[in-house]
Amino acid sequence: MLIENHEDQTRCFLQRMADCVIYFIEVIYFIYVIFTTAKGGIHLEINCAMQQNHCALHNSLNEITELFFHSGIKYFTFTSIMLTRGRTFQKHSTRPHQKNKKYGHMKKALLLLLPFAGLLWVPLYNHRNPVLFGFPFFYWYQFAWVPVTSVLIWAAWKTERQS
Amino acid sequence: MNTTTLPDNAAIGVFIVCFLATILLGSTVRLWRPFLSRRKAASHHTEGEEWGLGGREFGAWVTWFLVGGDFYTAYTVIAVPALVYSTGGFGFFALPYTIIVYPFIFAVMPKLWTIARDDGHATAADIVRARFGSRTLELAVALSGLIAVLPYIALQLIGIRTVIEALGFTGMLPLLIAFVSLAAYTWLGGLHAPALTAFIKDVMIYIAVLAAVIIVPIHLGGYGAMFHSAAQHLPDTPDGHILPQGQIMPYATLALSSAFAAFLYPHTLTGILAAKSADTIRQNAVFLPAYTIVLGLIALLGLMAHAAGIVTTSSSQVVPQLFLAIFPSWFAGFCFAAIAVGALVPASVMAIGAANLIMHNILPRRAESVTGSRLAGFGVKVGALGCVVFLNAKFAIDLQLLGGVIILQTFPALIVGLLPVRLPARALITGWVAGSLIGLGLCWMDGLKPVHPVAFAGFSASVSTGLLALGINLAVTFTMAMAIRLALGASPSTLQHRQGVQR
Repeated sequence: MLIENHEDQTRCFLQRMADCVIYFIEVIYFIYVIFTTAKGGIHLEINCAMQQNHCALHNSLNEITELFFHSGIKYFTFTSIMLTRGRTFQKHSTRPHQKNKKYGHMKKALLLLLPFAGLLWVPLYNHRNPVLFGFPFFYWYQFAWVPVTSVLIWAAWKTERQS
Repeated sequence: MNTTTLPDNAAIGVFIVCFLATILLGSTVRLWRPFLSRRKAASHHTEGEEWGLGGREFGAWVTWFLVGGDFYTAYTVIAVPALVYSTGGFGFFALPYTIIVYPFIFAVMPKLWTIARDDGHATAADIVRARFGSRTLELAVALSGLIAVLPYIALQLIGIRTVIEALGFTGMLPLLIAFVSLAAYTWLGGLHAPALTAFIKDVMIYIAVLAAVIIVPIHLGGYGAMFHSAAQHLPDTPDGHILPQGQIMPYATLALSSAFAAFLYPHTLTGILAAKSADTIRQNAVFLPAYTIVLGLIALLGLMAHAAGIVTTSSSQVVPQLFLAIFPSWFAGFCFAAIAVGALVPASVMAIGAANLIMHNILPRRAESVTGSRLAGFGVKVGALGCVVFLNAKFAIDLQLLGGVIILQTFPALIVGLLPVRLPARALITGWVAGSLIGLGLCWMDGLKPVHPVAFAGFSASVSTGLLALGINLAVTFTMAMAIRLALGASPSTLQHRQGVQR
């Protein structure tokens, strides 16, 4: 009975962990999409302005409303370019570098936003069980985020220096 | 029933020795600092920058101690355990708050530091003036900082007073001691005093807290037993949850709004701007979370007090009473000195940050005299003393909450201003006025509670008032910015484009 109960608890815990992970991924994906849309847009816009000397585009960087609109379109253009990899575009040598930089930005943002997702979604950890060293889950989960956050920031710093 | 324990002379003696030694070390920092630094003490910085920003040359270690020292204040040591004592798990929102603040620092503060260094800015209001070219906005940001930090300093004075009272002194004497020690310490030492005595504070606090988290569970039979017996003193929550359903939203939103507000305060920003390089700040964002572990352990003291059978009506006495109950009296005296020094260091940085604001931004003619800054800092402390004397302690904590709401309204100008979107100064001022007025109004209507109930489309919860006011502030700012652009700045081509978007 006791063992069964214990197994039950373990299964329940594992299931919740799986739920947490799935939720984490969903949240991160959502944030990721929003962030890359904004960030990718700005970068491509600067790139366009430099390459084509297109002043109107450059000016519109200052426009809040248009910024978001443009960035959306530019993001999709960018991804479609990346996906199709048309031969005509390959002569621009800046692109691989830019891709790395963009990837670095996304990775950095993702690393820095993880603690927000993990700690501000309170129902994720508002439980007494499983208890660790006498600490209810609620308490040790939050304590555990302290070293995790340090490592994440350190990783973000490394990414930043690389790109 | 109050389980008040009175300390003996050993406690008082140890307290006086530790407290006085720190003040003396801090006040005489000018005399002994040249021996520590390999470089020449006389540098190219003006005396004002030396007093107010420590010459902008603090390396990773000093910054770690300084920012840690002024971010984790008497509020942490006294008020967080007090909140945990009275509300249980809800008081722990300080833990997520002090975790998520670091990714925020990492992302934002190196940029802010670079701007401040390049143009020689010392305060948030300086940065805002240079970026938006608006004196009104500068005044708005400076006033917000000043109003927000005054009750914060008052709370530090109350923290020092609390431990002196716990030692058995009564009347006005504890407050007077607190004030005089703070004034001497800041006047003579400048920012170097807290920076170099912060490590004393930290070592003392670490010793006190580590002793508490090791000894108390031994007394009470382990952490499991401690949590169990503390739970019996607190309101019961169903289904194995820690927080009741209604506290979840306040918990998350308070953590978020506190994290956004934390480094807008003049004192925390002073610590950041005094760093040597942007990488110093990044490095500190990695290592400062070590303090958060200590904060969490300090918060646990609130639960331990329940388990140790401390019963007190004044919740700010929870930690002193716990220390008196479980430690030998000389060590309790040492812990009290740790709390008092822990309040002194941030109070001093706050006074300097506020003095920087007054000298740089509020007074119309900028005088570069260090005596002026010292006088301004002294004036700020007198103001804080006034807060303590003329308002009761309960109200000071409420004022600190209002301070959080006020300081959060400088977020759009300072932080959103870093993004590559140009916001006109007029839009930011309108947003600031709307956010501040509505935030203060809501606080007032709710009887000075930090959360406001919101009902929207079948969803109802209590949300942090500061965050709510910030949302209104941002909405007004962006609406105004769009309106101003439409009215003035739109060129024919962009205008056409926008109409195309709207249709």
